[in-house]
Amino acid sequence: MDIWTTLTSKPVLIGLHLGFAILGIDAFLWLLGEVVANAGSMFRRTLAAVLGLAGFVGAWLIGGYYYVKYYGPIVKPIIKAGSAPWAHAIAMEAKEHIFLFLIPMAVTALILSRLSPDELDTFKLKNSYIALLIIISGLALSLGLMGYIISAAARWA
Amino acid sequence: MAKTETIYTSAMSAAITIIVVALITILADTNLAFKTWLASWTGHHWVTKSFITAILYPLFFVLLRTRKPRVNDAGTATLTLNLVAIAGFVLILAFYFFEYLK
Repeated sequence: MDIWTTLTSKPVLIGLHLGFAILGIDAFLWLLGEVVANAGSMFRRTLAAVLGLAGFVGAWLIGGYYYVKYYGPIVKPIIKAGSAPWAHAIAMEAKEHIFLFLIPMAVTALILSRLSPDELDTFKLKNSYIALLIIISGLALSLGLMGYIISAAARWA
Repeated sequence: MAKTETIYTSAMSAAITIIVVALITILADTNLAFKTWLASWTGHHWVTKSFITAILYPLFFVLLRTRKPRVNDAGTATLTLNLVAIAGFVLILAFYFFEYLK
C-alpha cells in the first residue's frame, strides 16, 4: 500500500481531521489564556493564533475531502437508515455549515493577536477579543461533539 | 493601514461572510433548484459554499479597506462579529432541528 493510499484511507482521514481540529481548539484556548493573563510575548500569541488557524484549515481540507469522497456515498446512507437518522439531519448538516464560520473568525483572531496587551486596553478591545476566542473555541468544541454523535450513529446504526 | 483599521475590516468581512453563508445554507435547503445550482459549480453544494467562504472574506476585506473607520469602530466590529457568529450558530442549528421535525 503506497503512502497516498494510506493517507486517504477513511480511518487516517478521520484521525487527521480530528487531530487538526484538536490542534486548532487547543491553540485558541492557549491564546485565550495568554490574552486573559495580559502575557507580553508577541511571539507566543502569534504562534498560538497561527497554529489555531492552521489547525482549522487542515481540519477543513481533510474533513472536506472525507465528507465528499466517503461520508456522502457510504456513511450518510447508513446513518439515515439506522436508529438515529437525526444525527445526519441535524448534527451533520449543522456541523458542515457552522464549520465555515471558523476560518474568517480565526483570521480575525490572528490579526488581533498582533496587538500588545497595552494596545488591547488602549483601543478597548480586550473584552471583545476574549469573547471572540471563547466563541471560536466553543463553536469548535460543539462541532467536535456533533462529530462524536455522527460517528456513534454510524457505528451503532 | 493602521492596526485598528485592519481589525475593523477583518471583523466586518468575517461577519458579512457568516451572514451570507448562513442565508445561502438555509436558502439551499428550502429551494432544491438553488441547491442543485450550487452543486453544479463544483460537483457538491458544500464545496461551492466553501469556495464562497474563501472568496467572500478576502473580497469584502479589500472592498472595506477604502472606508476609514474611527478607532473605536474596531471594538464595535469585533462585537458585531461575536454576535453574528452566535446568531448564525443558533439559526443553523434551529433550522435543521425544525426541518427534521417537519
